[in-house]
Amino acid sequence: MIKRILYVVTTTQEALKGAAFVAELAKSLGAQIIAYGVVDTSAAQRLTQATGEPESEIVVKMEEDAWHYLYDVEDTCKSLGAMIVLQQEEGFPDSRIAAAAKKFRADIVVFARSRGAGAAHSRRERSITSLIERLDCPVLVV
Amino acid sequence: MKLSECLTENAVVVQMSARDKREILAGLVNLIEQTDGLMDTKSLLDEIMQREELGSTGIGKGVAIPHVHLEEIAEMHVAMMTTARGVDYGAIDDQPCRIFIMVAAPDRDRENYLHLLAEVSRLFRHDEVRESVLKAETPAALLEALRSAEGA
Repeated sequence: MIKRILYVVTTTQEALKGAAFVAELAKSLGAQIIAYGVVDTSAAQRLTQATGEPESEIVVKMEEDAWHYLYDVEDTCKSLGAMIVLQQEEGFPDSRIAAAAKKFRADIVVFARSRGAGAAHSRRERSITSLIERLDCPVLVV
Repeated sequence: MKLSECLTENAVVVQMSARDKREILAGLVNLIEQTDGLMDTKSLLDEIMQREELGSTGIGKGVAIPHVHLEEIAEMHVAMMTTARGVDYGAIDDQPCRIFIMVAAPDRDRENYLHLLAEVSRLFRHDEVRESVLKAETPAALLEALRSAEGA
């Protein structure tokens, strides 16, 4: 029985677009969504080196962006009548997501498909592949 | 948009005694009504309660941010409350909550609404911000703590 869906919310349009599908899935299963965002602190360090902006300011912006996307997803899901709670953490995404799946006893982990090109896109694709190997539950890409 | 700029002293209560989640939410709606003259507070409370049933807005670490946007609301309303003791809010980390910020916005202001929710959530993830807000013994002191945290 799928009762808990961990929906990994990245700061991408794809994550927002996936919300409606995840909401319908949750409703049809009578499941709760845990919308989960990770602020990648290693990315903040890379951005600091690339832009010269203070890391603390970059982290603030990343945290607010992550919450913004989480609340946007929540709004979509609740408007469709799906049950959802939000959680955001900091750290290395792969390990945080795997830990969250265990902590929240996720029956399935859902990712939005990563579109685009470039280094960030490649990193996300590799991350999902690596996570599939670490997770004990099924993974769905929407 | 900063939380301290959205609040007045009249929209803040500190160290309140409250028994349960419904009392907290009713108290926050009352604050909004008294401060901003929002007329249909029963509808607002009903909408907020319905959304809470779909998932607690307790984000962890003793903080809850009940929120809703509605067509019937004409402008953004924000109220804040701290309690003397923790209240069982069904938060994601199962911890009782002592800090509550209610945001009610018009549908047409959805972007500012999401932005404010994000800012508040980020702000209250920090231990020192929560501690300074919980120490406040008056609404003025709480607002000063917020201004200090947001300006830092």
